Amino acid sequence: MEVAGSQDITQELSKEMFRAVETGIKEEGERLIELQIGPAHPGSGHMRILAWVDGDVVVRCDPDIGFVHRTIEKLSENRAYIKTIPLVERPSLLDTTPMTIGYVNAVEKLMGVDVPPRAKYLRTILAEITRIASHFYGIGILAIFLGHSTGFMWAFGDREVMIELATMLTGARITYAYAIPGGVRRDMPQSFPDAVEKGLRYIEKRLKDWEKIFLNNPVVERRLRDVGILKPNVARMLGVTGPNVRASGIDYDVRMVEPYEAYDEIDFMIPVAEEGDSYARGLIRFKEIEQSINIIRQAIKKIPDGEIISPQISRLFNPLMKKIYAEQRRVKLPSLMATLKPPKGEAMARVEAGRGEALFHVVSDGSTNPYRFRFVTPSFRNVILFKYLIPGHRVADIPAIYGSLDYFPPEADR
Amino acid sequence: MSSREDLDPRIKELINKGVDKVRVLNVKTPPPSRSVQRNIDALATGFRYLTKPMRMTIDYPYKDIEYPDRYRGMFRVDADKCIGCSLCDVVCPADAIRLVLRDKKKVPTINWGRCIFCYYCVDICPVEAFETYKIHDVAFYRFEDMLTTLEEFTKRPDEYVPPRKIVGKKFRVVIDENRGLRYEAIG
Amino acid sequence: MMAVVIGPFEIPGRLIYDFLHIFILPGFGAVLVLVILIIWAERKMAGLIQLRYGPLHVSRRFGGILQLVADLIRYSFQEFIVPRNVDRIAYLTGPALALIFSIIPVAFIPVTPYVEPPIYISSNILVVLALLSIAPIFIIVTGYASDNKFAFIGSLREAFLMISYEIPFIISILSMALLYRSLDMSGAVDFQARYLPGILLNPSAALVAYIAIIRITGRFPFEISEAESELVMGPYTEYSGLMYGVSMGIGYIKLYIYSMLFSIVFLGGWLPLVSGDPVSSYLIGGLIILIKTSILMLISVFLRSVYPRYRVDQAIRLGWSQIFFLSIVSMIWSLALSYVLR
Repeated sequence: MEVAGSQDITQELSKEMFRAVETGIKEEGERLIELQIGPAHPGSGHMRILAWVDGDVVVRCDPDIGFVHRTIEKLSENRAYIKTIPLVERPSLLDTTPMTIGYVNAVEKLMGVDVPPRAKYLRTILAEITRIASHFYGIGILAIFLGHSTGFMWAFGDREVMIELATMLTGARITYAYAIPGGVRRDMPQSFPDAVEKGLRYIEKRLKDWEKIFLNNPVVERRLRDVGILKPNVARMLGVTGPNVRASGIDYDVRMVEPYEAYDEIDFMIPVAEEGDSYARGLIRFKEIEQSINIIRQAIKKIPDGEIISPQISRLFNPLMKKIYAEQRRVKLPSLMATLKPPKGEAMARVEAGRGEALFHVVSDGSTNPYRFRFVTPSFRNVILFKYLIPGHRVADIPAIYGSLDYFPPEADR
Repeated sequence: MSSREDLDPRIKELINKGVDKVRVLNVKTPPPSRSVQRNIDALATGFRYLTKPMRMTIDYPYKDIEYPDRYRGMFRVDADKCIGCSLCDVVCPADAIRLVLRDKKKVPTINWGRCIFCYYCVDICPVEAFETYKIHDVAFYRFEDMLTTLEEFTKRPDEYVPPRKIVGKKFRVVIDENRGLRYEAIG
Repeated sequence: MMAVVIGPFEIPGRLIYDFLHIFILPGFGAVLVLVILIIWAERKMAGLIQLRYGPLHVSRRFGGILQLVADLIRYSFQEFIVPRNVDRIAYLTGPALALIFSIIPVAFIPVTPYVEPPIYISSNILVVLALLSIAPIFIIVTGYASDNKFAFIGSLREAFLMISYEIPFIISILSMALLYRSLDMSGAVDFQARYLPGILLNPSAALVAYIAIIRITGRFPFEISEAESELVMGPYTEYSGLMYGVSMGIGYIKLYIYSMLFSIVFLGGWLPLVSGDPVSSYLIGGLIILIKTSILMLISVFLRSVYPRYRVDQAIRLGWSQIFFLSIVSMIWSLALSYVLR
């Protein structure tokens, strides 16, 4: 695969994607209206979408991002390694666990710490619970952008079940900070496997009602079919990731290609569709929820007993900490964690977040703060689709395509 | 395996190595069929929920939720146990805990406006000087009230936060197969 | 033809009846009470389907019925800001005139076979249809007068859709008038008393009329001119304060009048009332019409919880291809049926 160049690739793409909208008019005037679907708009999120419209047909579309930039990468250069874990989960507030897992994997590679198997399974269970919650959020936003308020409320209600399960496991509702270098912080309580099974059965029952009222709804199909078709070669050239690209026929998932945590011991499938329109993207998210249910069930059955924190860290416990760990299975942090000094070097880790592939690159120069921390989020890679998918469609398709891409502005802006 | 003409060489290598769990579930979007039947289905589903409501929300503040025991709420410090090692100050990601002098010993105080309730400080304390509670939904009248003094931080949180006007009955959340979330009264 | 008991020359009875008809039942009083109840029912039904409570806090013991009263009081006290660059006369009078022309037909609609409505014209149906067709023009003017691109696009959508859906509606109502052999509403009810209700005599006309009503009053799935996620509020984007309350109410008042027209032409009006004295027939007939109207309104607002909204071109295509075709079919069916039922 050749590296994407600059001018010739975009010109080739433009010819392929801009259909019959060459009116020759380049500026706002009698025919072209510039719509600023700005930050204070019910259908725009934390970004501005500039759309040049001829009648009802969008001629050109530019996303304007950066409204929620919080300089996460720069902030992490002034903090110890362990303090960046809550920081890294704040941008993508919906699927927080894959982001922490990625960062912690990178730091563990730098330090050379191994993770015990039970901790890997616990991280996997929480990651899949978070993935179901994140997909429900995406489906809810797609529904409300079409005007289907029932889909919106149902999505957030079903997501609440997953959040209560996570509260049972970690103690917080959305921002868990559950993974630390060497393992996890809490063990699962006795009533957890039962509650998880009930929650998963509830979601399976609800998915049938979802089909009847949302996926098979004739109006929803008319709005979403053949809208925003993403062809596979265009997807490859643009470098987009996640369920968007799996709906176009490319079967790429980081959990299969480079398995991390406990994914190489669990038997699951990745759903791939062929059409590439918005309906396929929505449908893929529903199928991924079913696959996540499958993964959680297998992980809970197969989870081994044992330690939840690596012995390299638990030998630094003082007697009080060892007693608490033995009685309550609660991991106390030894004082070394606050001033961790990994050896010089760099490490990279990749995870599959809810919206695609996230990359973490940590460079250390031997001190307590990292020298450089770079992370690329999947929404940042998907934002280019606004420019290439929307022209040629109508104004009412802008929220439909936006909702189906599941683009989350704070995750892209970091 | 649909579009495999020009694969990345690294992926080809992985496939040759035997990572053959590239097991793909081909999803076919269902063809649009008779729309009268689907309209009636959607309307019937909506009507069914109308006649058999499954409310998932709770009538706060007349009813209140009691979270599980490991819920991360506000906490207090036991000043006699504290040894003044200042590890909680070093590890706090939000710079919420500061140490002040009391009787020639350093003891922590907290700024609740900055705390993110990650419980790193609670977990790193070597003598287990923090005592945790499940209190979380408080409101302060002034911004300066969120910075606790030392005397306040050694007391239970509901002794120095503004009292609640409506205290609801406590309910516990139970995950249910048919209704999702069910609320059971406690006491 | 009406068995007129109170004619135009018995002044005191006439005045009392006019006052009651216009201000209490089925006029302003009934409109206000019914609109408040129907909006509450819409929000409560949506809440029940969507796993939540709906409005509850304002009057807890009655399930939050007075929520709309609280909303109206709040809108009355909010500051009404007039932006600088709008066309003042059109901006200030647009929603008000749309409201007036939506509510005027109530003076023409009879509710009992024994008393004339305040203004009696023997071709009732035609006059009511004509008055109802004027209201969308003021909505278009409203959107154009606000100096806002989203309002402008909203009023353009309203213009397109008004043409595509008013025409099938008028054709279907006129086909029923052809079947009933009179353009008078009381004549329509007499015919239905003799044979069957209009919805069974000509089902395609009823279907066309109902779908057109859902579009014209802006209920889901045709809530296109005020689409919230594309245009902030369509033609009414720049309004605040009491005018915002008025613009929210226009849709529901139009739904009331259209549902009343539908229940008289298709559902039998004040049947099963056939005889009695003027006073009791007014009360009972009015109540029966109100019940039928409110059932129709409840069904129309229930659709909010089930459907999203269509795109403009899909709605226009639906209107011109399928709804228009069905209205022509209904016209041919009534011609054939009126020949048979001679």
